[in-house]
Parts: sequence; structure tokens; C-alpha cells
Amino acid sequence: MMNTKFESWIFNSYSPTANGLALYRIFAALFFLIFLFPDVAFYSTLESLPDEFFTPPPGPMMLFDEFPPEIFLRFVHGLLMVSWVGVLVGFKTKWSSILAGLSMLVLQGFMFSLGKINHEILLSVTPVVMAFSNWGASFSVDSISEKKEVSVEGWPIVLLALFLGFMMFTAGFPKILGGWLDPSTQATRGHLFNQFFVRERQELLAIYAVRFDAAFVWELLDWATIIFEVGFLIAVWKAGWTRLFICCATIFHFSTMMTLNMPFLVNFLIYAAFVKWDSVFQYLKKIVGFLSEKKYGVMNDDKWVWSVAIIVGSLFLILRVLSNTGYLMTSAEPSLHDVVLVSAAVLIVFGLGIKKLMSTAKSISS
Amino acid sequence: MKRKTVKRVFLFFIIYLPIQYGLVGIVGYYHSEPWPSFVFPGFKNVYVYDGGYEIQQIEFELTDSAGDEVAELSSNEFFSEIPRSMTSGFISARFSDQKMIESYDENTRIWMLEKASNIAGFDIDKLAVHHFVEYYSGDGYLSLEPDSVITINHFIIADNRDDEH
Repeated sequence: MMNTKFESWIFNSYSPTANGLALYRIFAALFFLIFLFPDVAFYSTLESLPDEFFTPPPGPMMLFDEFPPEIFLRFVHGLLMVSWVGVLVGFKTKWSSILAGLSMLVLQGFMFSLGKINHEILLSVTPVVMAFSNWGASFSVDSISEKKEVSVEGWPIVLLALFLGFMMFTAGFPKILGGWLDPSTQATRGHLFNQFFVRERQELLAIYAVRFDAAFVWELLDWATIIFEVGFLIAVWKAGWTRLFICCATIFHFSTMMTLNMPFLVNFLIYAAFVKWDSVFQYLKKIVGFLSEKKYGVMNDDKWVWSVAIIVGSLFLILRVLSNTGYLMTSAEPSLHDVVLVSAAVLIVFGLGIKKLMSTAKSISS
Repeated sequence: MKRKTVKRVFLFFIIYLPIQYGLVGIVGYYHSEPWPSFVFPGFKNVYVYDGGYEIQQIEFELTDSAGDEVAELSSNEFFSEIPRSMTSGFISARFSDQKMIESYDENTRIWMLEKASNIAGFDIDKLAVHHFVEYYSGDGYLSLEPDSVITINHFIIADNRDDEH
């Protein structure tokens, strides 16, 4: 019985389609290539630092004594770019995905040997895990060149959920030990002060939050944070619960972006894996069909998917360029693209919430 | 991948994840956080002290050849080329311990002085790091000035004037 439940959790929680997975693959690749790519200028910074500043964390990076030459990091950077482009177009997708994950891991290893680890391992793990979903089975070079049909798998999404849920737990558990639940401490506010004064994160609503003096509200936020982070591990058991917690995570990151100026944009690449991409595909197909029927006749799926991908990619690029030029906001974190993307995600979550409420109300009344 | 293999992969990670978390805690306590690991930041600190908030800060103090302190720069200003998300971790790893600062060789000290001079726009002869704690009561409409400031440590990174005298 236990074994059946375990198997059912692994193999039946998510039933993605080849088209749905392909949409996620294209979205993830565009998102990574345009917004999450490491800053190439940082490699020359690393090389210019004295060797004594090389502080590798315990682990494989301790095998090295100093930062590598800039040319090596640029080479790995190039590999990362080529492999993500491979993922985007679906060329040798499995190997491109694995290479994308491994090259990011190497770059992160050296960047974090400065003495500070940014907890972004899922950025490396996600393409490696998704490689086994066969997310290159549709809308890809592979699908054109390979004759036989490839089946897609849902278990990699469950594995990602397990990683995410466990990591969220590791964010919540130390807070319990640290005294966040003590009514006499308002830890969220303490962190806000730390970010505001020490790290000079003073954009958006930070100043208003710093001056907001209501202990009850701050304590409520302390508790809500822990319930959300620890509860995430339980939510991994069912796809619906995971999606609900992903929606909560989106609202959570929006609030941390507005007050602490920490958007955690990296996490959104992983959260996107839990979107019902097949529904997105059907929805887009309906819209494209409606718009194009009169003018072009019925478009084949490949044609309209890549047209939409080019439009989305172009919009991402425009946003990124505006962001880099410091338009409206500084180019430091949170930048314009952080604000636009996280706000868009939260709007989608609210839209889905309203849709769900309306359908529930409708079913009750009928 | 075969169903049996997939099941084994899941079983492996269900066992591995808590074990590696325990190791992260132990290694982190005695050394520093290991990498790579499946953890998110805990943000364990509450920063609360005696009903208010205690925030630890550091500043780099730049002094010119005349002995006048010419600038106090935050770590973000001094290491502006390092991403903001990494600066405070880098500073606490490299500049929070006197023994570590004393262990820096001549090249590192010269590099730091040159960097300070480049930022200031003229020669800097002495560079120090000042660790202090700011205390905010957090009551009512908060002033952005701390209620009190206490120096914890003051380490000299490089002082050319010592060599001259």
C-alpha cells in the first residue's frame, strides 16, 4: 500500500505533455539567457583580486588555491551560453541541459569562493533534472531529426518539488531555533533594518516599511514566514498543494522585493516548472487560432509557438536593455526587470486566484 | 530511465537531503557553510536586543599622508565591483578577524592601499576597517539615525606611515 502511494506520488503527480514541457523549456531558456546569466565583468574582478581573498567554501572548490584565469571563466561562460541555446532550440536537448547545469555549477563554485554563497544551486540542478523529462520532445531540432516518438516524464517535476520543498524547510527551521516565534522579537523587522542600513537596500517601499511600527503585524509576518517555509515540505506530497505554495511564494517574494529589495528572481525559473504549461499551450493555441484564421488560415503548431517565443524573447530583451540603462530605476538589485517580472508573476497569481474563486462560486450556486 | 531506477533515485535523495543538511550544520558550525548543498539561507538572526534592534556595520577608513581621515566608505562603496548580495559575506569572511588581517602579505596590503587611492583620487597612506554596532529603539516614527553607536573593533589593514617613521 505504502509502496503504491510512493510510486503514485513519483509517477502520477504530474502528467505533462510534450507540448507543455517544450513551452517550459523555451520559457526557461529565454528567462535564463536574458535575465539570469552571470555578469561576465565579474570574472575580471575575480582575477584582479589578491590570491589571499580566495576563500573556497568546504567542498570541491578547496582543491583550488586561487581564482582561475579570466579566460577559463569566459570559456565556461561560453559553454553555458551555447548549452542554454541548445536547450532553447532543442538541439541534443538532454546533453545540452546537463552541460548547462554543470557549467553553471563550475561558475558558481568560483564566484562563491569569495566567501559568500548565494543559495542558487537550483539554477544548476533544474536543467539537469529536466533533461530526464525529455523536454526536448516537441518544438525542437531533436523532434525534427529523430524519427521515433519520445515519451515525456513527469517524475523530474516531482524531484524538483522535493528539492524545493526541502530547501524551503531549511530556510524555515533555523528561524524557529533562532527565536522568530518569540512574541518579544520581531525578526522580520530586524532583517529589514539590516538590509536597509547595512546593505543599503533602500528602494521601493523599504523606507515606509522601516518606519512602520506595529509589532503585531511584524510578529504575524514572522509566524507566516515560518509556516510557509516549513509547510512547503508537506505541500510537496500533492501537485495541487505545491502549486498553492508556489503561488504563496510568488506573493512572498513580491513583498520581500518591495520592502527588503530582495526579489529572488532565480527561484522563478524553478517555480515556472509547476505551471500547467499544457493549459497555457491550449489557451495560446485558441488565441492564435482566433487571430490568424482569417489572415493566414490555420497555422501549424511549430510556426505559432516559435512566433510567440520570438515575441516573448524580444519583450524580454527590451526589458533587459531598459533595465541595464537604469531606466526608471537603478540597475542594481532590485532592477527594473526584477520589479516588472515579479509584479507580472504576482498579477498572474491574483488572476488565477480570482478565476478559481469564480469557478468555485459558480459550482456552489449550481 | 526505468521505473525501478527512478524509485531508487528518489529513495537516495529522501535519505541524502536530511543527512547533507545535518552535515551543513556541523561543518558550518566549525568552519563555514559547505557548497554545493541543497539549502536556502536561514536568516536565523533576529537582531533584537533589549527591546530594540542591533545592526552590525563596518566602514573602511581612508587616511591621507597628512594624517587626516579623508573618507569613511561602506563595504558596498569600497568593493563596488562585487555584487551587493555577496559583499557582506565577503567582508565577514575576510575582514572580521584581526589574525586574518595580520596574515595578509605585502602584495595584498599594497593592493588594498592602491584600491583606496583610486577611490579617493589621491594617495592614501593608511587604511583601517571599523566594526561597530548601531542601536535603533524602533519605537514610533523611526528616525534614520541610530540611538547609539558602539565600536566593537578597529583593525589597521595597511599603514605606510609606519614604514616612513
